[in-house]
Amino acid sequence: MSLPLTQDEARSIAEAFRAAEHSVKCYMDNNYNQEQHKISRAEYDALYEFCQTLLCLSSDATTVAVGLSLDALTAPADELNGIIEEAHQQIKTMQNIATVISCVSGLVNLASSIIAREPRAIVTSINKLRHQIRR
Amino acid sequence: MKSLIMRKERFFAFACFCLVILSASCTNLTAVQEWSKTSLEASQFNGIVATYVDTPVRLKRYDELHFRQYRKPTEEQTSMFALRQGVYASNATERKIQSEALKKILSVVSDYMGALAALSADGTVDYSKNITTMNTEISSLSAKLSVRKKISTNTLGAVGSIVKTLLKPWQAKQVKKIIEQANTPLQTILAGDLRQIVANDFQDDLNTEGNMIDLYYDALLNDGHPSSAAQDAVTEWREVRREQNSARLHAVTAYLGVLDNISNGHQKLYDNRNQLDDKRLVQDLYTLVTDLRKQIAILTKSL
Repeated sequence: MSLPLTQDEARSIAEAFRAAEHSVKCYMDNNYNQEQHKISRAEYDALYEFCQTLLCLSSDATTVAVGLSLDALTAPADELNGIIEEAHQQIKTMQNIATVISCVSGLVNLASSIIAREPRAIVTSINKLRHQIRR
Repeated sequence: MKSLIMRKERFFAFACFCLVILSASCTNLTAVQEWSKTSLEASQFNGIVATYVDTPVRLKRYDELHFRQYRKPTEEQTSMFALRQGVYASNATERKIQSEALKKILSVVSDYMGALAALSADGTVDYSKNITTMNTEISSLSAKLSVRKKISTNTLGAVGSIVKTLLKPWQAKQVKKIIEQANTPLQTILAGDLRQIVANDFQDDLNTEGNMIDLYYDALLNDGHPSSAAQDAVTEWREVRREQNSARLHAVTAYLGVLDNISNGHQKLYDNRNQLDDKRLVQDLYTLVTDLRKQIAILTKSL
């Protein structure tokens, strides 16, 4: 059975472990340093192990907090993704307007060829226009 | 004949008036585009995710290095070491999975900024090439018409202006619509859980590493009676590791600034969505761009 935990509780646990380690470390610094050894080396090593374990558990609680926060981020991220898709559609529409303008140019070009009564130019204009419409 | 000329002049003046009115109603989106483009650039620095993912690996290494120094580890030391190694290994795996989700969320923010920058860009409605081609075609048609029906250069210029002028407000309307829709989910991400992850978890994780650095190097200095050369070497290494740790912390703080900047900027856009070229908004956006540039510089240096 998994423990029901919120991300804030996981963060508090991480902080508590780190704060506890800091207190133990201060005790070690005051009682075992290059000038004096108020505690034995074996005691120092035991406290060292304790500090390492506290830091390890603090890091573990952070992983849990991040995991819980990520779960909460899924829904807004999905919603934003939908909006991005819409924005891309709008950009595409704007690019389609460019195609429309090109097609108008093609039509004018065709009209110009018809007025000039140039059969070859008419065929070329029709082909160009067809190409622009298909694009 | 005189009245015909007068009528033409009046018509031309009216057309010019209409164009001026239309142009005046156009929203200048340059500041919006500049801010969203810079936000896109800043949000792409996701190196802080890699730092977070690798922390258990770095902590594990300190643990291993220290354990190797025990000449004859006790049973308790051995079993605690094994337990921690297991936790670090499983954290490293878990964080790798989390990094994919984190990068995805950060890329959603980047993608949105990219889309907003593209949508508000001048280039998006810059149909000058298309209009030039169209005008060339109209000119060539005009050349084939009789002198009486010739299309003037003014008319050709007006065609282009009208197309541009009509498209600009439409573009501003689309930008407004996207800002309106995106604000709530974007703020939920930026000011909510993502901010918590960066502000609390990433920073706390690096603080944990900082504690580990102190613990490890102090223990080295307290081990027996090291020579002064050895002491100097250890102290130097400790400084190197501490500097690396503080550079990573700087990067996290800078990235937090980026998230806050994007969040503030977007809220300002949302609040002024009906007047996206408001003088005050434009000023604020350019201030945010300057801040983003500073944050980008820190991120470039730190990561």
